[in-house]
Amino acid sequence: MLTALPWPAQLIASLLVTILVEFLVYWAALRAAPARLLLVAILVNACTQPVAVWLLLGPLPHFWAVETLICLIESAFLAALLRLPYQCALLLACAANLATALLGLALFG
Amino acid sequence: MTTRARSSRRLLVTLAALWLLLGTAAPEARADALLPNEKSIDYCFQVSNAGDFPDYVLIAAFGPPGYGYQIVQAGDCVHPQRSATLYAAKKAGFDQSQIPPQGAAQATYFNTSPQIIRPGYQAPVVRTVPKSDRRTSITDTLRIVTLTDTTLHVEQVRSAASDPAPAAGRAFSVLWFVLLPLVALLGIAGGILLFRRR
Repeated sequence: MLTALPWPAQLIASLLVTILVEFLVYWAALRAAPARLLLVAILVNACTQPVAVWLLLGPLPHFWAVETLICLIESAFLAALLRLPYQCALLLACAANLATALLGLALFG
Repeated sequence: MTTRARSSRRLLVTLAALWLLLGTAAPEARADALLPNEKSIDYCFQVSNAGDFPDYVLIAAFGPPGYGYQIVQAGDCVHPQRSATLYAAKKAGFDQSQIPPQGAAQATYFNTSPQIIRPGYQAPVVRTVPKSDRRTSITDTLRIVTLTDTTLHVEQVRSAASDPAPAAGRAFSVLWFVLLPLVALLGIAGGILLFRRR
């Protein structure tokens, strides 16, 4: 579906969709201040998503390996930014990334 | 262990199991097919000055050895499935009917026939490109540098497979893959420091 778009538009669209989906997962799980959760979703995904795409297209072309790595990094960011216990942050990062990974597979094949 | 901790651990184990299951079933597990970030592409090559050597016949032998051949005329764009070796033969004395249609006999013909000028030129066939590549086809242009009764020297004039990305594309890549994550990382570091101060 999104693969019909030009390459830069695909990247921007996939980042926006990722931020939106992960924000919804954070909000559904934590029910905390939405503005803060949105800011966290923007910062975390703006940092990890381009790196994930770069890894997938270059040195590590294995989708689930990259997703696992990104999940671990995001869980550390979430624990620090949202002051969550690490296990809880890992759970949240796994759930959010699972949602975006499945959506990514559906949209990009 | 509290009930909350137990249910949290159970959820984590469930997610990990789901992750492993999906990872096992993911497309990249099927290594015999395309890699997940690659797409197949239509490839062909043409010989720009094929018409300048009227005394010779150009033959593209497809690989693996014995998978057919094509006589290359000026203006032809040759579409190999996997690989191709470009040979030449002197037109005088060349009899196309002597080329076996396929199989080991054909491979032997190209390797041993005195009519064929060896070694051939291995065409730089491209079968797959990254999905991010916007091209849907690649046409390579080859040029004969030297062609005598004993020598065939071919060069690649233009490699469409290695065309540099446009400057705008490179600038966007730097912005996207380097600057954006760095700025976000600074934002995260700032956020963490801010939360610690409070």
